[in-house]
Amino acid sequence: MPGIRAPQLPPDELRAGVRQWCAEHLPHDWRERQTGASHDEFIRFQHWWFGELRAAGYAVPHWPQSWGGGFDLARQAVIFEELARADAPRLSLHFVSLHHAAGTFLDAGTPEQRDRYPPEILDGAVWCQGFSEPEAGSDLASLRTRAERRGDVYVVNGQKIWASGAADAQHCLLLVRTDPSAPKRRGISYLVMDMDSPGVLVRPIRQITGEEHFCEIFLTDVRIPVGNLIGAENDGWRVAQSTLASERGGTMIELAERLAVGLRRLLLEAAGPEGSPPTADTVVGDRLARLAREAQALRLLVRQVITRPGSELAQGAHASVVKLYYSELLQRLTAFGMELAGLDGQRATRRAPGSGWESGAWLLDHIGSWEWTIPGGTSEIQRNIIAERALGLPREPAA
Amino acid sequence: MTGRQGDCADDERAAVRDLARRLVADVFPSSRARAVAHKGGAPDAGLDRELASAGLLGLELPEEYGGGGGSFVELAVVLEALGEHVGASTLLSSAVLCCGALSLAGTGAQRERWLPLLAAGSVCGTVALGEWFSAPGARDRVVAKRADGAWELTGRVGHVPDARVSRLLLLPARTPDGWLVALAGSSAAGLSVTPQAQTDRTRCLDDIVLDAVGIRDADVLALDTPGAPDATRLLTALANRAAVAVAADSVGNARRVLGMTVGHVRQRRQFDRPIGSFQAVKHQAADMLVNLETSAALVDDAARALALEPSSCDLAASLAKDHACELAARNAGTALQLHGGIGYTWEYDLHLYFKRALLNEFLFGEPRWHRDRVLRGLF
Repeated sequence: MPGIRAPQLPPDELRAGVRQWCAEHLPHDWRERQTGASHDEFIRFQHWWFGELRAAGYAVPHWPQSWGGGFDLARQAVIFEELARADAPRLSLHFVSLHHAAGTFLDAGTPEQRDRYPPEILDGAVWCQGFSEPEAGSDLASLRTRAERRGDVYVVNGQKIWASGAADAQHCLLLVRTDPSAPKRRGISYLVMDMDSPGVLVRPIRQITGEEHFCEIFLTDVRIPVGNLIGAENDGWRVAQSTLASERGGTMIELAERLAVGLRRLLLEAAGPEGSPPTADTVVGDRLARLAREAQALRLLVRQVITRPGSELAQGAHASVVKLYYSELLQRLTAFGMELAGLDGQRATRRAPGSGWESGAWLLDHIGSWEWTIPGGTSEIQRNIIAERALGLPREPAA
Repeated sequence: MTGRQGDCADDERAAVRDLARRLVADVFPSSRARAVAHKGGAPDAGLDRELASAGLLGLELPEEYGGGGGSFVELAVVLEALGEHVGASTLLSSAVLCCGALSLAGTGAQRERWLPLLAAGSVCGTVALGEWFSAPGARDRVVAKRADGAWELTGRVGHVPDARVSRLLLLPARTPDGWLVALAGSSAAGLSVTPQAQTDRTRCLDDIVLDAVGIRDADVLALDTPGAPDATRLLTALANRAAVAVAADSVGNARRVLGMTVGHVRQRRQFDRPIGSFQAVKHQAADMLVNLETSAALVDDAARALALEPSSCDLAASLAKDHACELAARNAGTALQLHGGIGYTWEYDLHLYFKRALLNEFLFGEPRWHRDRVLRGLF
């Protein structure tokens, strides 16, 4: 029976089941219907699709079994692969809830937090992440949002930026400074903030693509109960590392598969009459062959990082290798799509929210690819991490 | 294009890797690589002896022939270890190509006669694959003609690995129905081997000229007949083995070159600090690592695919060959840049690696050849 949650199903049967389920449940015209949709329509559509996936048991394969997941890595890969190949919408509205929030509670949540939040997420609660600040970009540890403890509450003042989906979120994973006198990384705490708390003001930022996905969050005397602390006070930096690590696990499988789907789209666009392949002697053929090998390298690399985290690379550098490679490959692939589209590709167009970064609206996809080389540590930061942690090169001396 | 999970346990592979790395490092220090280069590339007999006595030459063969009962996955690990030291061994010609061909297509008699000798390293063999990888109309061409109840081979083929030291030569030739693969001794009448010096002086690639060389039916390894392209299947499998072997060599090359570079930039000081603390240097080193890791992932996948089905892993083999060989060459160039003047000298080892990496990019299928195969595999 397709769509029945069965974490122990043999991978081949699981694959056939997910494929059949997608054929039966995925509206073939969702892209057309979503392109140009209003914000409210997008939110409704995301909740509906999440509900469908949840009912089938495919919404949270990477969660523990007691939380409603329980698929091992090989089977998670199967589910993410099949969803990507079927060109299913991404759960962009739920992304932080399903990965960052869940990963954080799994790693550092109190029993009460673990009992409360994952079921809420399954019921559709949306989370955002209050990490970045205006003057603390890739130097996240220099954040200045201040939380002062007064009895049973922290009183928070400051400003967050680049919070994906904050305008639609009910909760926020918030990093605050609780000890301004401690060294940068030691005085940070990690809180759960309800977005409807008095003193929280959210303002969407219109982005380069015309979309309004990222938000600023202004915090004025926001009172957060001390019970909302995740991990120990002033230990937030460590907890934040596990949050960030959670987005580099199974979800990278999905992104690598979606990139492979984007490559397939390029192949179709580059094909000659009757779908014949270009030859390697043409610029098009040569570039396609290179992109193909890079897309396959990414897929293999992601699996290796997930299944063999202890191989020859130092801990922490794997994730940077994958993020760096994925983001720059995405840039190359979408740039090539834009080249194939030519001047016609420059006409104003829109893409469906919830599309991957390889929607086929190549110009927007290409511009959107900078959403990967800048956030979560820029490519420059990733290269520093790789050089210092994996290769042992000396840090840049302080000025 | 699906990632494969281990048909060979990771710890087994790690054990082979450790053994091969230690052995090659001990037996084949860079002074030996230089000696090989000095003598124009003939494989190092001492290294071959040590590989044979450690069981690495016959690693992939069944135990009945004196082999180790392993798979191509382990063999690729040894090739990578050799690549780390620009090792000049007959592993590629003898174990990868010749043993591979006999295992895949040899008769019982052919295997019993040759495989134990090849595994022990007392005989070296090779396969003349040059024509398989060359462009239509290229100079390499060997034609097989039926005469007096036997075959007669005429033509020439270049870039045959270790031909000058091989007693056993496997010769592909064109027949009216496709291909034939024949087995010949190096002293066969009408057969001559001409050593060809390479710019990479650590590899031995020679030309073979055939002037009506007679081949008995008992010495035919595979023959295409209408409806049964046995020789084509065999040559496809051997081409894949050759391509992945060179890709594994390039991964080893890139690993060592990165190690040399990291060592250098940590220690070399300019402007009162190690040059490795400059971001401009760090970022290039980080890119070298990414190039290495993506190459290793593709080569590992291709080696597993080869171990499972050697004649139907064209796409995986070509992806690995093209990626690993191009990026190893790029890494070696970056290493040269980061080493500065010292890297450009004959005394420093880096040029051995750079030249090997550049040769690997073209050996057993030029980039175009593999990219064409990738495109055909995708459409």
